[in-house]
Amino acid sequence: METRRAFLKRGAMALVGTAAIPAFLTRAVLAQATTALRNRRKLVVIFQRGAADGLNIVIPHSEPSYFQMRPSIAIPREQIIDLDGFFGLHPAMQSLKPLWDQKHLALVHAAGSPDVTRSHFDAQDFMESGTPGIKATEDGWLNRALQAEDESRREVRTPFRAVALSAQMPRTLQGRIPALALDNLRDFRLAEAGSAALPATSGFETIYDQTVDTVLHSAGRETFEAIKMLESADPRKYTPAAGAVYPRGRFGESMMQIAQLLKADLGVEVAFADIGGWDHHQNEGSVNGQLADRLREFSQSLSAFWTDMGPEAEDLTVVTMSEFGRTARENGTRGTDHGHANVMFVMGGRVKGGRVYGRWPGLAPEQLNEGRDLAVTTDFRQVLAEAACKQIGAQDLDLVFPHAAITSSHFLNLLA
Amino acid sequence: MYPGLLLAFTLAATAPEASAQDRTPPARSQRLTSRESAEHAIDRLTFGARPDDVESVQSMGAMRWIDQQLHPEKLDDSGVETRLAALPAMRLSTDELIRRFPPNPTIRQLDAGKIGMPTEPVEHAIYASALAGYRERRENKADQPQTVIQQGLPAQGEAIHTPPGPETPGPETPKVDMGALLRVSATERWTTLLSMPPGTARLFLQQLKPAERQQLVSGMTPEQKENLLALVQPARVVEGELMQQKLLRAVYSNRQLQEVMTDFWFNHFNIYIHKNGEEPWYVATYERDVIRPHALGRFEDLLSAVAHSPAMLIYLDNQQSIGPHSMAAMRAAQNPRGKNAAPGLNENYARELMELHTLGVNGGYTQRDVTEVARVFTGWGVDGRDPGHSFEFNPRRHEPGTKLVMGRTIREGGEQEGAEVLHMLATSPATARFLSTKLATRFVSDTPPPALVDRMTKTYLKTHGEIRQVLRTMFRSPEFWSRDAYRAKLKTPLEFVASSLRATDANIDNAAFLTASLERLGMPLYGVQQPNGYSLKGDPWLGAESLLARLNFALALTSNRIPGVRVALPSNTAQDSSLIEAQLEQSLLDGRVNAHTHETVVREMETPQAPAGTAAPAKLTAAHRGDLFAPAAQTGSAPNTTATAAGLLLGSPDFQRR
Repeated sequence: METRRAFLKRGAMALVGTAAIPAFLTRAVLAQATTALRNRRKLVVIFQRGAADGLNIVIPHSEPSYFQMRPSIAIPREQIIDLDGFFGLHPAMQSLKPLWDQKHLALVHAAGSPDVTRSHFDAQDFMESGTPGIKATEDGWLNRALQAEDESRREVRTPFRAVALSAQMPRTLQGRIPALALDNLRDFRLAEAGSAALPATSGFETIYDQTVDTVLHSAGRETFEAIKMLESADPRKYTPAAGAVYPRGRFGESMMQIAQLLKADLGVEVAFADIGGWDHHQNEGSVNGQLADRLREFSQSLSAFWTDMGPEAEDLTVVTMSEFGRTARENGTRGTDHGHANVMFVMGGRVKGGRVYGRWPGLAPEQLNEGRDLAVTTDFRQVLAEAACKQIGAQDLDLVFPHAAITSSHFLNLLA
Repeated sequence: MYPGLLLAFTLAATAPEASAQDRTPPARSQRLTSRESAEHAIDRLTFGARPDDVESVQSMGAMRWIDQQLHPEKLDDSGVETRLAALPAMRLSTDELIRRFPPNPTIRQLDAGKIGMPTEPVEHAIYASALAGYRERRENKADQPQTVIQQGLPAQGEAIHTPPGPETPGPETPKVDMGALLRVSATERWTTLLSMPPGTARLFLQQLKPAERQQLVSGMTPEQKENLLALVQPARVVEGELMQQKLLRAVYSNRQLQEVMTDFWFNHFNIYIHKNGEEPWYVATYERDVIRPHALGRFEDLLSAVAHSPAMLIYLDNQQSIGPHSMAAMRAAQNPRGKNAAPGLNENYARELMELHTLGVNGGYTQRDVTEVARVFTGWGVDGRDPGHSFEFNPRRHEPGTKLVMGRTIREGGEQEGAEVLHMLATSPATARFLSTKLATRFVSDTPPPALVDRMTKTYLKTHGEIRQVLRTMFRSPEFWSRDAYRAKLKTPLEFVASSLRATDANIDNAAFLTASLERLGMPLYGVQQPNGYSLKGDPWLGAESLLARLNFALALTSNRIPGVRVALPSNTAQDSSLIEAQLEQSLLDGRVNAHTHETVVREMETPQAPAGTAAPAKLTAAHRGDLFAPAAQTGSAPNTTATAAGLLLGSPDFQRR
């Protein structure tokens, strides 16, 4: 058995090796690459930034205390979309109900981090690094999930292997494996005059290729490779599949662009998008209101993505997460404060859906974490580890989630 | 202490003996030359060097120049003040801003008859227009489900206010004889527009082409332009001018260190401008009256000013927080059918006060301390009345009783409790270390040497948090002047944009397209939603999209394709490419260009240019929809060789470092 050190060394060698591959993959090479990659499964990770209120998203409507603790923001029983007699969806999430019925959508409730922080930044940091309580971790769990693969068997590299739909690289994808952060596919080119043959494009490419500044050298390399591949895939001409209606707003746009990239066969294996605006300290709303508006955009984007991907959705898994849940009781300003456990959505072709996974800790006062929030009964890493392992083949779970001692025995078995 | 003596000593200790013109790459251990010291000081204390800056700092001596920057009040800044005269709203108080550019709550009050229509004619026109717009939107909303523009910038292609379609009830687009209007004087044009029936001037202005709008306002005073913009979108006057002033100060202020520190502290005490509809009116005065005056002063004064600022109290929800046993809460409990639900504690400000503003996340506090500090600050809020819009301590909301913060008993004392906690936090060693680390990360290195941070922490504690003294300690330390630190920092997008404008000695007439560029570069001004602000380190700014946006910006700037901004590069008639390139290198980067880059740029200059098409016109972003008088975007001609060369240099790796 190979030691970790040997593995890392070989990984580094493999990376050095990439320099020999011409920066520009021609369409022919690309076609070859995509044939090899076609059967690969893909993982899409979504972060709900700001701590979504899981108790008003997947509602434990058989808990009497739910209604007592949330006098103005509880969803009235008759408006909840019932799922299994105990839990139900917020009424703004109607568009996801068909996926649940088709068993493509699973839910994990009372999931979260073992770390007790109530700071957005810390909690997001811990969830994205995958190392709760350890600030010094430099890379993100999803990047390490890609590192866990045996790279010596990888024949073709593509700058689109790991893509984030955001202007800046999210923590989740930071690390040794090159990843690409894109805000908008359509604008991803040098605007000089629209052609790669013009002086500035080739000039910049040469300058970045020759610089001794290693950090900027690799940033430049990724940039120019990506420009050229995207240009040949021509994503500016894109029409979503019939029936796929993405809502207005950044998240819908992100999901549509992920669908574009996946369908363009650029070799995407993992994609990341985030959606903010969940930090409802005041006037959260109930059936209607701030949370409802957010949830409508969130679920319509996901269902449109599912429809858009059509048969290719079979190869996909989508996992959602949020840094922590919110207080079980509503606060003095008809909102909720920072809490603990939350709900995760897992959607995809191989998902054993139509079920709420995880042990329900209850909402009675003595069952609450610190007397105020839903307690965590499933470590979020159990869900992510299963997705990383079964979806992108990350076998070395100690590498993905160091110090967590997660093995396949901790999986919830929500993926076939 | 006699500063002159100390200075002489420091100069001898840090400065430079090698010849200035010696360009052989020195060994890592070698000291910086006097030229390099001047470059380094400018790189770190300013938003970038202007063409002759290095020369003058070198002849003055880097330490002497730094000392001048540490005392901005002694530096003449009339140049930037002249430019800021184009943004008259930025001189107003919050009260005046809210009165002249009414936010939505004011218009709702007007609609409900709670306040009267102002009598002053200009204000009357602005309020009447806003009221007409408000009623129109309300009618529309009643018919169709509302798409909520969530906090944050609208997505691309999404309008902040959808212009009314043809079926929209409301005032008809007026028939205006544009030709006749353009023949009269600017003031007559202004009067005509202001005296149109409410709502019609807005429609008229919106339907004009950008170039026509430019013609329409030519010759008007900045105040007159503001009035007209306020007819369309009062909020955008405030936001737009705020963003423009930030860039103008970064580019043109002689008090560069003060601006760098203002930016640093704003980011430290970050506020998101779109938190809610009222925030822009408070953010404008927050930066000017709360942050800038204390940027080099005592940290406790700054912390206290922030804690008392309406902008922060609104942003971090403290003005919503009500003590569970306060008089206000008791009163609400007696009247459960009252309009408001039982009020309660909100911990947001308390948490960020400790985690982000003072102690740092490992600063030794617990969730219990957060709750206790939240109890301490109950009652700290905003007097929303007019005049007012200022800090108010409301004893009825204040939680009674003793509080226990990090083991220390805070006796019941109303507003005084908060002052006590602020003092305790500002003087804590954890705060001293947290702030010193952050400053060293901004000014020295992404991984600041621990010995330097130790020294700065000591100075902080010894001087009771005198920021100027902490900076002085840093600027006099060998770590600051080490070769490892020289050009080691990656510029943030703001630093990149501002330094490009300074290096090219650009003339900015209107900064709207520049603030739009910063959005594309991933760093919208006042645009961080979360209270932790932007990263001070390089990594997050190295994404492909962000780098590509830099290259695009460099080319657009040097070929004068950014409307409202002009650069004058040396013309290249019949001169040797290599010579022109060398001149550009000297003026843009003080000659600090990699040899390969030099060769490539010269080669590109000498390559016959492809028959160039027209370059794509620059675009504003959705957030700028309200900037009606932003200069018209034009299709630029293909860049000439000098412009391309300058663009390549500004986009090169060499220019991304400071």
